[in-house]
This record gives sequence, structure tokens and C-alpha cells, in this order.
Amino acid sequence: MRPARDTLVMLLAGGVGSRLNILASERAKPAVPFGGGFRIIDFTLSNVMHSGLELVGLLTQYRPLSLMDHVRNGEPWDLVGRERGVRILPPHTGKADSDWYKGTADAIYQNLAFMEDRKPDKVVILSGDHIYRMDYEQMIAAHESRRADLTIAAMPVPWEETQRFGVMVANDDGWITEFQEKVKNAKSNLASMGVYVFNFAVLAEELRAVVGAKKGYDFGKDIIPGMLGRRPMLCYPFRGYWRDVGTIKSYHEANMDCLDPDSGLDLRTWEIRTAPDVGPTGERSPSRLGSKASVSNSLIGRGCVIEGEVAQSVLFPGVVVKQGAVVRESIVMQDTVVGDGCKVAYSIIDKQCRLGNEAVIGAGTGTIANREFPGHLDCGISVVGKGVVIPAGVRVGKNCIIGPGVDLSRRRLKTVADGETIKT
Amino acid sequence: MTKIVGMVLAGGRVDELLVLTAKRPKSALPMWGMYRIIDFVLSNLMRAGIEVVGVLSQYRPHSLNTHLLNGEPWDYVGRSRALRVLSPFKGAEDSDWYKGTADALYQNLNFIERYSPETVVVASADHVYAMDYRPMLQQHATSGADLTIAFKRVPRDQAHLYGTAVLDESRRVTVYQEKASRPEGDLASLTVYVFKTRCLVERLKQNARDGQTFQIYSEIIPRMLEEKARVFGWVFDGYWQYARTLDTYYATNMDILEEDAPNLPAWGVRTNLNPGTMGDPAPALFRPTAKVSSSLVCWDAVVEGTVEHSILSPGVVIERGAVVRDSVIMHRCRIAKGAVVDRAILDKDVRVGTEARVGCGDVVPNRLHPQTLSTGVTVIGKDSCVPAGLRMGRSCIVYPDMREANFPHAEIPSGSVVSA
Repeated sequence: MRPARDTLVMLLAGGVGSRLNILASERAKPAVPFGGGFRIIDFTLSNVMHSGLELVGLLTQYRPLSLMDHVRNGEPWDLVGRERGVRILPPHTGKADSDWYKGTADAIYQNLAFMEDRKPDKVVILSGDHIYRMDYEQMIAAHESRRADLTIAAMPVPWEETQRFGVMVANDDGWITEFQEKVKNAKSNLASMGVYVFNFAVLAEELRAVVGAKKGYDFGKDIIPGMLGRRPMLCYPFRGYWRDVGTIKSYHEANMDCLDPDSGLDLRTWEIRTAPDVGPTGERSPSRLGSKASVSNSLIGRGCVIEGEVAQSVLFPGVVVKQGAVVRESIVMQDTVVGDGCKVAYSIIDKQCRLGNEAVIGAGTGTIANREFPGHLDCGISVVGKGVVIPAGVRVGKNCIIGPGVDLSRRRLKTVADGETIKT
Repeated sequence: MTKIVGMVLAGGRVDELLVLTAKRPKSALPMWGMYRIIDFVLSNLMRAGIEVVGVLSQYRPHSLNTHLLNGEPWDYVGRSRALRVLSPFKGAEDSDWYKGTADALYQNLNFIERYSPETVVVASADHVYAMDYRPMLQQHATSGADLTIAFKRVPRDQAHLYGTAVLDESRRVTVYQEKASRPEGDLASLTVYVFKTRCLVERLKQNARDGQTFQIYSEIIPRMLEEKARVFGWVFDGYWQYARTLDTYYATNMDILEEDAPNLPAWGVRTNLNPGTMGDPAPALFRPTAKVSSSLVCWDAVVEGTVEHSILSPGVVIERGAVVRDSVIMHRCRIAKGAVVDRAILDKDVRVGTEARVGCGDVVPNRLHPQTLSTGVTVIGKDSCVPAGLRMGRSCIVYPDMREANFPHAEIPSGSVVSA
């Protein structure tokens, strides 16, 4: 039997992508654009659709406007119908314990009423933060056949990254015996992907006992460790492409993976769906390549106009690359204009920027990490925020951050040195 | 109350387009990679704020119906807005297939009268243009016209292909001739008519009683002029094209690659992006070996080979070492390794095998259909497979659904027709 009718999806889409810095400062992490026309949440929503799941509660909190505009009624993911749908679940008041969501478990707890109304047998809890293709139906089948109370999807990560994740130890039968949330010197490198299948009755009991009693608010820190030894928890191993694109470097790498046939990330065979992107004047027309255009190893969104050179890059819809301009190893988002002779190297340019003629983004040596956010930016990538204006001839170095809306033509400066941040 | 109803003439099959219209009316033909020809008139009507549109469709309407859906892509969903496909139907008496444009309107008078409009705009779905109808509607209202016809000035030597008119200083039509061998005027009708509803209805009913011919151009307009009705002209001077033959269909497609091409974003043309018909909108993927210049490329295309001065529709795959030049490649075609496609139109889902050549040798007219295909363009019908290694000449026509067995030789000379 298809799991659709007795299984409810709760999708945590409130994420603050703080390490994505200005890319996620005015939009929730799931709404961050990806792959030349998608947003990060499209991957999870497409997985939901391909798994035959039909009802999704979408939990929003941080700057949900872009996300709500994007998801709308769920139609692009075939989630419209008598039984199918997406319900937006924002934080709400009205009960003594309603409040801003204090953690993942709290967000689910505050929407217990929504779930109880639907009397699900199982609840699949997902996050909208990851790039992967997964069939949840198979995971649900394993959960049922093994009679688990909770099944957690897991995949091995490099040992040096284990402290970014919840990690688990499982016995030979796959039952989870230990769980550690974001600790140094982890006992395992088997990381939780944040994909949970819960028996609903168990979920409700645990949430009431822990969150309801104000003992904790998070699945990884509080709920799962508390279930150890009491409830059968199954580790569901996943082998495939999965990335938490939570840092600027990993975000850039995952975008570049779209170009590499051996990376395991294949937008076409994964059948990722997204909402139609409507340009400023209506429909996006086909992309136009001029007589001197050169485009290789790149993704080109709709309605781009390319007269210059684009190599190893991801261009979102409506980007204009003028004659003599060169864009390399970069991500350029909707409707940005790259002026004549402008050079963009190893950079991320957000939507609607104006890069002047002969300007350079990503000049320099890249040995100096960003001074204000060394933890976010030390690999050489420069990030230019939404709507930035860079006047003709200005040179922006590596590891630089130019904040959203900054108009550099209002300042008399010819260069932005490596590692500089200009926020306003 | 709805003031204006739009009636779109979309039923026509044009014999000259042969294999391209074997399974679809001309109005459903793809254009410029992602559009269908009917998108242009619907977008014009939408921008003019005309809220109710009837689409008169008769010939193989399936692809048109799928494309139009409920009119949502053109914003025709709402309390007062509607887009309806009006197919022929059976009624109590005298129902029949549409015998012509006037007959199609006559059989759908109840659709028009339901909205009690003051004005009816009748426009063909077969033309590629972006026109703001509002100034024409304004002139129609202030001049008190019974009928206003849009015209465009054409070269004298082409005027015989069109309905042509002469206007006086007040823009009143004094002469109208349909495809006259030596027309008096050089103003060609764009098949955009603005009627005072009452005049149109009376005229259609009178014709029905008289059992007259069934075309607007041959019957309605001449009789209105005879009876001294107030018929005016409106002169449009923008881009306007009419794909009358395979050669002109090709030329119109290629116009979009010119330096002074129509500015599509400015035109604001809408189309149906329904994933069921258009594929999921993944961006186009250019592999490291891709070389593409002077071309239009749609989403979901994958290019590993060389593309020059061509149009790639959504989902097209150009494999490594393949070369596509001066061609129109429609949805989901696959050009295999080392194949060369030169000056060709490939309808949807065509496959060209490895090392095959489409379009080589001398330019000769097509042997069976020189009137529609004489400029060297080779046309391959929907779903056909060109076998690996085959050499095909210029001005060839390949019917839809052809397989290896349908190609008599490994060498198809210029001007040939390949059919079952």
C-alpha cells in the first residue's frame, strides 16, 4: 500500500542559515536559490512528491516571505487535490505555551493540534535545508517492517565534520544504541540527515513529556537521547549524494557538483521540480547567445543574454553577460547584469546586481580570510549581496562580502581589498 | 458588463505546411523555441485588457486544447474572465463543421451574445506579432466605425498575397480586394477585425438566411462596403509575420536570431509552461565541449557539441561532436554523436543517428512541393528517426514517425520526400 493516506509530512523550513551570511540574511535557508533556477527546498519537496506523500505541514519562522511566494499552494509538486496539500504553519499565539519556535521539537510540538486533526499513523519529519534525492517510501517500509518507533536516516560523513552533526552508533541489526548531538570526538561518523519517521502516538507522547514539561526543545539534543533504551529506534542507512549546504564553501561546491557528471548530483534524472520563475516583464524568454558568446561547463537559466564568456558557472534566469565579460567558477543569480569587460571569478553574486564595465570581482590572492567573518569565508570566495551596484573599473578582492543593497557608486573607492566586508 | 469579446480564429489547417501541421493546427505550431503561434494573439488580447475570449478551433484541436488549458497562462481565470475553446457542435438544426471564418462566428453567436459586448475583436491565431490593440479600439470607438481592419504596408510585389485595401484621409476603407493579382493598394490585412457587435450579428444572420459564402474576407467585408457601412482601417507598422509556407515558417523562426530581432522580454509574450507539456524547467546544461553562438537556447537543453545560428527548444540534446547550423530544433530532439544538421527544421522528438547528415549538397526546390519548399530547408516530421550514417540532401521532407525501414537508401537526394 502506498503510505500516502496514513502518513503526514512535517517540513521544518524555518532555518536561519547564519553561516551562509548575506545569502540567507533576508531569506530562510530553504529559500536560498540553487542550481540555476531552483531553491534548496525544491529538493525536499520533489522527494516528497516522488515518494507519493500527499500532505505537508510547512513550518516557517525566519523571514518566510520568499518561501511562501515560492511554495504557494504546492502545485508544482502536485500537492493540490482533495487529499493533497501544503499547509503553511507559522508560529502562532493563542495557547499558554505558544511562542516562537524554540527548537525543532518545539516547532512540531506547537503544531500537535494540526497533526491530531489528521489522525496520522506515522509522521515524517524533514528539513528543507539539504540537497539530496531520497525515496522516503522505502524508508517508511523499513520502519514498518522492523516495527520501529522512530527511524532516522543516516549517512557517513568525514570524521573531521562530525561535530556539525548529530551522530549515532547502531548495532549489527541497525538498532540505535547511542546518539550524540554535535559533540567533539564523536563515537561514530554516521550522521543524522534530519529525516525522521515517527509513529505518531510515540511522537505525541514524547513531545508532551519533554517539550510540554519544558525539559527541552530539540530532537537531536533532547527527544532522541531521551528515547534511547526505551523505544526501538532504527538507523536507516542512506548511500547517495547528500549535502548540508550550510556554509558558503559547501554551497558553492554543491552548485558546482551540478556541472560534474560524476558528482552524483544530477538535476535531470532527479526530476527536481520548482515553481515557475516569472521575470520582471512576465514570461522568461529563451536564453540568447550572441555571436561572440562562449559558454562551457555551465548551467544557464532561462532568459539569459550572453555575449561574453561563461565557464564552470551557474547562471540563474535573466542574467546578462555583456561583451568581453568573463564569468568563471561563479554563481550568478536572477537578473544580474555583468558589464562589458567585467571579470567575475570564484564568486557568488546574488540577484539584481549591476556590475560595471571592466569591474573585477574576485581579484587578488585570497590568502586573507574575511576579517569580520573568518569562520564563514576563508576559501577565497567573494559574495555580493542582492541589488549591489559595483561601478565601472572597481576591483573587489577575494573573501570579500558586499552586503545587500550596497551601492558602491556612492563612495569614492577603487578597490575592495581581500577579506573586506562592506555591509552598508 | 463585458464591453469587448475577443474571437480567435484558430482552426485552420494550412496545406502548405504539410508535415508540420499533420497533427496540429497551424496556430499550435511551435515558434522561437518555447512558444506556439497562438501565444502571440492571446498575449495581445490579454495586454489590451479583453477579458472574454473564444477560440474557434476545428482541425485536430488536441494539442491546442492541451496548450490553452483553462486560459490561466494568459490570466483568463476569474469571475469576469474566461477563455473557451469553441469546437464545432451538434444542435437542434443546421449544425455542422465550420465552413469558414464567418460560419464559425455564426455558429457561436450565442457565446458572443451571452456577454452583450459592444465590440467584438476577431483575430487570426496564425500570426507572429506584438500589437497594442488599444489605440485601434480607441479609433474604432471615436470614428463610429462598424468595422475597423488592421493593415500593414507591404512591398508592392507581395501585395497580391494578401487582402489589400486603399484608405482615404479619414482612414475610411474605399477599396478592399482579396488576393487580387494586381491590387490597387499596398496595405495588407492582418486579419485583425474590430466589429460593432450589432453590425456583425446582423450581417452573419443575413448571410445565413441568404446561404452566402462563409468567409469574412470574401463576403462580410465586400458586402459591408457595398452597403456603405462605416469600414475603417488602422495601420500597424511593427513586426508581423505569417508562416504561409515552410520557407516562410523557417524564415520567421530565423528572424529572432537577427541583430534587430523582436525584443521578446519587451513583447511580454506568455505561454503555457505546464510541466506536462514543456518538461521540468531545469536550466540548460552546457558541457565542457559545448560551442554555441548566435543562438536561442531553452531550458533543459543539454549541449556537448557545436551550435551556430540555431534555435534549441526545451529538452534538446546535442551530443559530443554533433554540429547544428542554421536550424530550428524542436522539443526533446536528440542529435547523436558526430551528426551534422544544416539548415533544417526538426519537429518534436526527432532523433538523428550518429554520423548522419541532414541538409547537404545543392539547393533545389522540393520535387513534390516546390511552392512551399524551395530554399534548401530540410523538414523532418515529429517522432521520426534519421538512421545513423544516413546522408540527406536539402529541401527534403520527411513525414512524421518514419523509422529506418522507411528510408529507401543511405543517401536521400535533395528535393526528396520520405513517407510510408
